[in-house]
Parts: sequence; C-alpha cells; structure tokens
Amino acid sequence: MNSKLMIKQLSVFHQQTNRILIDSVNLSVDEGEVVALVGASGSGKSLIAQAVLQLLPDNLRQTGILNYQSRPITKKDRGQNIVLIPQSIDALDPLMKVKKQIQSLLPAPHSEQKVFDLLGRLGLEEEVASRYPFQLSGGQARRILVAIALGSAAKVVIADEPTPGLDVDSKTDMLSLLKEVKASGKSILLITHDFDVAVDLADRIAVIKDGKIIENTLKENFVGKGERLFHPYTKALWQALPKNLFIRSL
Amino acid sequence: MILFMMKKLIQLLTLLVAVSLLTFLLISLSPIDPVRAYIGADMLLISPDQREMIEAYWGLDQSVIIQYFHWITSLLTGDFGTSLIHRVPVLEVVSDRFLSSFILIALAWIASGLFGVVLGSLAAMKKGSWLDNLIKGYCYVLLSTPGFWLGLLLLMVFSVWLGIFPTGLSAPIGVTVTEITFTDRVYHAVLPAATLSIIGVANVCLHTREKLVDILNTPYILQARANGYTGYKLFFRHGLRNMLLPAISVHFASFGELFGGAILAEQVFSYPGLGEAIVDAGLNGDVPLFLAIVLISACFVFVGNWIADTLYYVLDPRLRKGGTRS
Amino acid sequence: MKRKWIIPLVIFIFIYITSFLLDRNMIEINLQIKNQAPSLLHLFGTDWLGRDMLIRTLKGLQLSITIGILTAMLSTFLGLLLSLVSSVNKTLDKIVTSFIDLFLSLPHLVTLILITFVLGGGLKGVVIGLMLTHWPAITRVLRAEILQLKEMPYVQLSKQLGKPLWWRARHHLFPHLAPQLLVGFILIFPHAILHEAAITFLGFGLSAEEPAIGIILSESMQYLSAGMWWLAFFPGLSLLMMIIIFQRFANTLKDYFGRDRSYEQQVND
Repeated sequence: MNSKLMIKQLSVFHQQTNRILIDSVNLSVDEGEVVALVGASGSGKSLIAQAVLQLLPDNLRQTGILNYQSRPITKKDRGQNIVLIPQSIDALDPLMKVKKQIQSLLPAPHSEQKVFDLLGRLGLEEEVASRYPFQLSGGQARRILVAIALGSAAKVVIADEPTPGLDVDSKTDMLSLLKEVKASGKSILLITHDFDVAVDLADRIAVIKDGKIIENTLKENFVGKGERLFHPYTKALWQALPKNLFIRSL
Repeated sequence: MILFMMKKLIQLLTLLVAVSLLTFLLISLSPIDPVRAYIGADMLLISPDQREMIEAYWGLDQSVIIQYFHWITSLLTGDFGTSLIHRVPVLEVVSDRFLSSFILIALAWIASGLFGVVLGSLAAMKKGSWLDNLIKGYCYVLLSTPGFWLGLLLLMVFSVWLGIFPTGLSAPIGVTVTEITFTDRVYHAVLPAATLSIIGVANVCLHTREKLVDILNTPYILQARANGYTGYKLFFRHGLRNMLLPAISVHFASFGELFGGAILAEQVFSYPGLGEAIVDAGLNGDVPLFLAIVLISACFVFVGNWIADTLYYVLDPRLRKGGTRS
Repeated sequence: MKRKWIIPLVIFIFIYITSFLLDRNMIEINLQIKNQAPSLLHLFGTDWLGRDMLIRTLKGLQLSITIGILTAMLSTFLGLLLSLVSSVNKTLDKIVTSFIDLFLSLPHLVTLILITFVLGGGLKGVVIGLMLTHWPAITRVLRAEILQLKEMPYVQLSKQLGKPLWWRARHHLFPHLAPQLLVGFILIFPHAILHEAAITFLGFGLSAEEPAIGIILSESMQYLSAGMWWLAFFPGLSLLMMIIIFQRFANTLKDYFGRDRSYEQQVND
C-alpha cells in the first residue's frame, strides 16, 4: 500500500497526570484519498492533527509512529509536505497583508502572479491580496487559508474542523473549496464533528470516541439503516443525520 | 486624525490648567515665605516696611486667585518669572537644563528600550528555560532596586575606582557653559543614563516578554509553526511584527517614571538638569522655578502618553484604516 | 509552594522585631573606631563618627518598615473611601476619576516632592505625601471592581429593596473587596518604602537626625570619593533585599487571589 500518511499506535497523554487523551490510534491516508475523522468535541480529534505536525502543547506527550510516504515525519515536513487548514480564521497574522502570508508559502519562484492566479482559482479578486485580515469577510479569510494549502507543494492536507459553527451557505462553500483541494490530487485528513460533511466528502470515515477509534470503514458502508456498520455509536450517528431520520421511524 | 489631535490638545490644556491651579494652591497654603527665600541671610537687615513693599511689588498682598491669574497671564506671554536662587529668568535656567535632561533621558530611553525588547524577546522565545528564569529574575531584582543606590554603586566603581567617568557636572571645570560641546554633554550623561536604563530595562523587558508569550499562544503562530516556521524565522516573521508596537507604546508611556528616575540620577551625579534644578528649587523655596519644572514634567508625561496612543493610530493598520483593535 | 514566601517573611519579621530591641543609644559616636571597613566586629563597617553601620542600617530599615506599613494602610484606606464615593453617582465618579488622572499626570516623584515641599518635610510630610501619591492605582482597581459588582443581580435587588448604601457596601462589596485591599496594601508597601528612601535621599523627607536609609545614603555621598564604599553598599543592599522579599510575597499573594493560571491553559480537543 502506498500510504501518504500513516499513523500507527499514536497515543497522547498528559505529562504530569499521565491521563491518556489519545489511545493507540491507527489511521492511514492513501494517495488522493480523503479520510474523515469524526468525533464529538472532547473526543481528542484535534490533538491528532497537532500530534502529526508535532505541535502539541508543552504539557502533552506523544508516542507512536508517524510516517509520511513510509518514512518518519520530521519538523521539516511542516508546510513542505504536510499542510494544515486551521479551524479558525484567526490563523491569519493580523498585521500582515494577505499577499505576503500566501506568497512565501508557495513553491519557488515566489511571483506575484502566482498569488493572483491562486486567488482567482478560489473566486477572489486580485485586490484582496493587498488587504489585511481584518478587512476580509469570514468567507474570504477561509478561502485564503484553503488557498495556502492548495497552492503549497504539500501532498497531504490536514483540515482541522474546517466548518466550525458555520451556517449552511458557508458550509456548502467550504465543502466546494475542499473538493477543489481533493480534485488537485492531494490527500486529505478531514477532522470534523460534522458527520454530514464527512459523508459528503470522504472516501473513508473513522469515528473517534474518548480518544479511541471505534470504527474505520469505507463510505460505501454508510447505507440503509447502517447494518454494515460495526459500532452502535456509529450507527446512531448515521441514523441521526437529517436525511436518515425517516429510516428510524420505519 | 485632526479631530483626534485637537481633542488631545484640549486635553493637554485642561490638564495643565488643573495641574498649575492645584500646585499653585498647594504652594500658597504652604509655610514657605517667598520673601525670605529671595532675601536669604539678609532677612534681618530688612525692615517690615521694606518687606511690605516687596510683597506689594510681587503682588503677594492680593488674594491667591488673583495671584494665580497674574501668574497664568504672564505665563501666556512667555514670562515664567525670575528664579530666586539663580537670579535669572526661569526660562533661561530651564531651557539650558532642559537640553541636559533631554539628552540624559533620551539616552536612557533608547538604551533601556533596546535592551528591554531584546531581553524580553529572548525570554519569551525560550520561555521556561534557564535563560528565561535568569532574565526574569534580573528584572524582578531591578524592580526592587532603589535607583539612586544603583547610581551610587556605578559612581563608586566607574568614577572613584576606575576613574573612567567624571564624578559630576555636565561640563569640564573651567569651561564656560557656551563652550560645552555636544560630546561633552553626552560624555557626562553616560553614567546617569546607564543608571536610568539599567533600572528602566525591567519594565520594558517584562512587558515585551508577557506580550510575546501571549502572541506565541495565538492561532496564527500555531499556523505559522504548522507552515514550517520556527525559532528566529518565526520571531521575525510574526512575533516581532505583533509585539513591537505594544512594547514601544508601553515604553513611551513610561516617560513619567523616567523623569522621576532622572531626578534621582541627576542628584547622585550632580548632573545639572531639570531634576537637579527642581530639587534645588524645592530645598531653597524657589517657587517660580519649582512651578515651571512641575509644569514641564506634566507636559513630559502627557507627551509620552500621547505618543503611545498616537502610535497605534499611525502604525496599526486595524486602527489606521478605521477598524477596531481586537 | 508555601515555603517560598514563609521563610523570607519570618526572617523579615525577625529583623523588624530585633531592630526594636536595639536602643537608639547603641548608635553611639565613638571616634576611635571611625571609618573602619567591614570586619567581624562591625559587619557593615563604621562611619566617620565611628557609628556601627549595621545598627544604623537595622534602625533605618525599622523606620522604613514602619513608614511603609503606615502609608500603605493609609493609601489603601483612601483608595477604598474614594472608590466608594465614586460608586455613589455619576458626578462623584467623574470627580474621582479626574482626580486620578490629575495625580497620574505628574511623575510620581514630582508629586511627592511637591507635597513634601508644601508640608515642609519631616515624618508628617513624608507620610502624607506617600499616602497622596499611592492611592490612584488601588482606587482604579477597586473602582472597576465595584462597578462590576454593582451590576450584579443580587446587588441590584438589594438596591430595589431599599437597603441603604452602607448596608450594601458592607454585605455585598467588602467581602469581594477584602482580597483586593490586602493585595493592594502589600503591593503599595515596597513602593512606599522605595519612595520614602528616595525623597529622604533628596532632602525633602525625614530630617537628618533620623536613622533613615535615605539619610545614610545621602550622607555617604560625601565619603564615596574617599573610598568608603561600605557606607552606601550595605545599607542599600539591605533595603533591596527587604523589598525583594516583599515583592515576592506580594506576587505570591496576587497569584493566590487571582485566577488559577493552570486552568486557563485548557487543552483544546
């Protein structure tokens, strides 16, 4: 198997209390594949993104194997081979113009035209490049964060809760942006609490609960009443989707 | 922007009126006898009649409020009165000393700002390390250090033992005031400025550290790290940009403390600036000089705070372009 | 954690009490042992009149502490009073805040010189001067706290039930303000001591007969060029040590009453 990203026996625990937050998680993302990691808030799903990039807070420790194309991930992979689409639009430096924030993250040569092309691809005007983040709408800011991931040379994109509390329109918007990223051939690890986003976008869905992966299955298995699903929790999640609500009543 | 400036100017004027009124009232209530202060030891030679004449000449027989208005109106025409101890117009005493104090405070301000920001940044970037603890400890000790005592130590080491710097006066002996070169002034300002900046570093340093630690915990720094920026690259790309404005702003707002420190430092090194003048004026009951320096110090503090405010308007794009500071 | 501030505090109280046992007469003039460098017999050396610098320093510290406690208490009280006054209505609040602005518009030391100058120095001048220069900071903190408390539903309810201001202050405000007052008091204390020493050093403060640190240091200036470094070094160092102890104590207390920081750094999932 040609895994772009492989997580093997990843555990994360508190340094002082030894409380386990992530318990022996195994997950892999193949080339061009979208794997969704679904979990409620508090399930520890965002820690996995931070652990992969080795950006956990100081008081947490991680063990296990993390591979990029069958070799261990190093700090040099950050931004080069693995990029992060963050949860919040506060991830843009408030005192730096959009152009500069994008430009240096694109592969050389760092031409202005490249930035404009990228912005255009995501439906943004060239003029946006010379703005500061506070002059952007929420939608524009999210586009720019996706643009950085899309334009970078990285083959693996980790989208950490890309649709936090967004209204339906913004969510649809974000989904189409992520599909654009998928279409460019990059592998995506989509971390979300939004089950319908996962179902819409992913090829494979893993469910995390209390730091453990309880289900890891192909999207095709999410049919009917969820008979092909393994864990009752996953079944409940599937049946709770608005479009499936009628099934339960049958 | 113009509106902002106008508002600030009116604020300054109100403030100066309030400060001058309060100071004037306080002093008129005090037991200080300006006639005695002026005449000095010859007081016994003066008859009560002569004394009354002097009082009438100065308007001391009128009510405090009228005296105040006299004083204010003459201030507006640029007449600050005559210094009782120096026997020359206050403006003359003040203008010469202002330059000395200005050089001293400017040197100290720049040095402490520079070192403060550098040390504070180092501490924040290496938060929790021995270096951080060392820098923090150094700052806490400095915050507890009496500035004039530090001045005495420097005086002992550099002037008495090593003889590198002069023990006093901002001009070499035998040189008249007009012949003092700028280099002379700076040379004599080095030790007092060093005293002031060693103490002043603490404030800027701790502020810088705190601000940068906050910044390093923001989502955009996490994102920058995820994009592969670490260490000094991260600092120069995102840290410095976001930390510098608050740090400089705080440093400008510390003008008042610096002025207070300068009073002590000037006294220790007998450096003839405004600080030494206000102490002299106070000890010898030279009210006109005293009042003038009090007003100057108020302006000084105001200008510091004003620059601190204005910097945000000029430099922060969020305020400059009509947004709000988050 | 506790040990961090208990040990220095005990040392500090011990020094303060022993300094009371030292009689003023022990600072006697003895010209036969004048200008001695520090030795086992005279740990801090002796001055030009043969007085033991250790005893002078201890007496000086005692005076500093007494003045520090007195002025810190007075300014805290003044701060409390003014913050209560400002809570009565908008006009009074405006007056109090403009007084705060007025006092903060001059450098601390200049205000202090001004007040001691007007009052003619001495113990009274220093204490009043220090009191009048240290209240703005604590008044601001207390005022903000009261403003917040006043909006609390249970305080509003008391008001509607017709409880008088004093009753509300006693039952709703003081229990919340007490920790602030204590922290404020302890934070002002080292400041007051530093400023007392400074103003005395400049000649506006305590008179030359008092065994104050400021006096010791300003006298020492005449002898520094003669190489008598110990006259300035040890007294100042002792003052510094005492202030460090108190700053630490104040910071520990502040953290204790403030929110526990470890809870702020929650792990995001």
